[in-house]
Amino acid sequence: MGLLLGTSPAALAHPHGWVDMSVEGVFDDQGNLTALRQRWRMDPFYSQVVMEEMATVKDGTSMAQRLDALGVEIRNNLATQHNLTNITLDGQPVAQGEVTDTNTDYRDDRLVYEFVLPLSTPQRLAGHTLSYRIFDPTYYIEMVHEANEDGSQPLPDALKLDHPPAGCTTRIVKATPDPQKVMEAAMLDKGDSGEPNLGRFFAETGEIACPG
Amino acid sequence: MPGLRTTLRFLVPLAMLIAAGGVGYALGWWQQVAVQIVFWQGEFYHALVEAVSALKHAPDVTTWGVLLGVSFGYGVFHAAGPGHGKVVLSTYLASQGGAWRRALGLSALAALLQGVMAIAIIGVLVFGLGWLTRQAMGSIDQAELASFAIVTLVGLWLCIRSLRRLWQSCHTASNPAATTTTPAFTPVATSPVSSHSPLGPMVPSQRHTHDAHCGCGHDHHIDPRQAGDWCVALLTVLSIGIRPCSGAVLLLGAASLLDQFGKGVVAVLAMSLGTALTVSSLALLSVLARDWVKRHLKPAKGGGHWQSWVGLAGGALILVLGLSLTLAQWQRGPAAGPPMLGAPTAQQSDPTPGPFGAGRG
Repeated sequence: MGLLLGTSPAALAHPHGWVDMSVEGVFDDQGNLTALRQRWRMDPFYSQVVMEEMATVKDGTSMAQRLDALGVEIRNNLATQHNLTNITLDGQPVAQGEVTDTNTDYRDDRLVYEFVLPLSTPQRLAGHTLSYRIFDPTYYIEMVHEANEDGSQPLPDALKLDHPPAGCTTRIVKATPDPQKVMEAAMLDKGDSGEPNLGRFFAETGEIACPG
Repeated sequence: MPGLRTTLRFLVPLAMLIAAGGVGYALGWWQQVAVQIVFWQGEFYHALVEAVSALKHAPDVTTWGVLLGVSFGYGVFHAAGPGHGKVVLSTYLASQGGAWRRALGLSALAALLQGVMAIAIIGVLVFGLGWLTRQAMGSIDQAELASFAIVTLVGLWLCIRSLRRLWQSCHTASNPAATTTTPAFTPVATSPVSSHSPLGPMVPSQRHTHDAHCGCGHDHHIDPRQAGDWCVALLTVLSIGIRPCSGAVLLLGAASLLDQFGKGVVAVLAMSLGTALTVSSLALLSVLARDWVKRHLKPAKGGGHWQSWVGLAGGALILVLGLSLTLAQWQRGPAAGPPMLGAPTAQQSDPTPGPFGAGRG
């Protein structure tokens, strides 16, 4: 009985939806990284549920206007959470600017949210590696790069570069959560919502490296 | 020395079990299993969504089979995840007695009820009252609070019952006639599972051999307490089953939006079967563990007291769990939804609800 009880209450959260994301590193003319352009495709079920809500709005607005309003809403919600994005340069945190160019769309049964997340100051990447991780801390939503059919490999297009200096490379590293740390977090580390903050353990890491 | 041998027979396997558990824990096996289950849940959820879309586009034997298989698997692994229900059920079974058949019945009922609740939430709130699916999903919060409150009630009930039995058995024990007859503690006399005991199979009529000593703390099939017993058993089922899995509600909501509600219902029922498999395995395990302990830790005297004390401890555990969950939920308030959209509004108080107005937290 003690053994049974001891193993039961480990409160491991699990995702109730997912986002397929693609990221593009945007460089300026000087070869500095200025922003991460992101596209999030919400899973078909969640998209359905959100579109149901959009369809019930009876204020005479067009669907395009409603989607725009939705985009603003999402942007404001995400702004309070660092846009769920964590950026580091050689391990040091990189500050974010304010999100611009949001666009919300409904394509192929998926709700698509696009935005540009500028770095607060453009970063020179020569000889450095910039890493980012995009995740929902509560792990309610699983955030993954666009992947192949069975989800085993991220697609090359999931992380692209826009006007990069010659020789820059990208890499998407899958999460390898340390079970012990996950379980510790599951039991001790509760977020504001009372849910354990497990998302970070399951987050993929995108890397952009440029030759020095 | 038979006493020593009995003690050893009990202590050696127990020590081995604890050692095995300790080694497994030290090596981090169970953490790995737990994390693997989280991964699998994610994969099953992906597969589930794809199966519904595939079935929509090509409804044939293959796509139906995939949907049923994936739903079943999702149920199995989802039930292996967190949940107070399993703690309540295994504590209840381990401490309160009851046959393995009852364990199976209760866990199957609880799993099925979860599926039925999901269907009811979409059926009543969305179809009947015109709520949005996201609002209906928000109502799971209330179901959860109700569930916690019922857990508290179950714990309270069990405590009171055990205390009453202890009090009664004290009074019976002071009566010499009651203490000099049959042994105070016969292994698992209440249940068919005792056919596994060294005493060999017991025919039903033998179960009632000590009806004359109703103060001994056993459950008797013809005891008037039986009604109350079933009542608390069903209450336990309700405490587990009243809160549907939000995955199931989302599946049904999305399926109905795609005009696939019937298929969603079938998928949710398959999911319940999977959940029933996991939960009943756990329930069976706690019944077996309990009987094993009972067989090997047979107290020489005061068996009825021992049983009642175990019952009291189990009831207290459930009571504390129920209280702490209820309080935590109370303090936390409504659960946050997904990060982009904020919390859903629980009720449709406005014909055109500000859909994403409620910020997070």
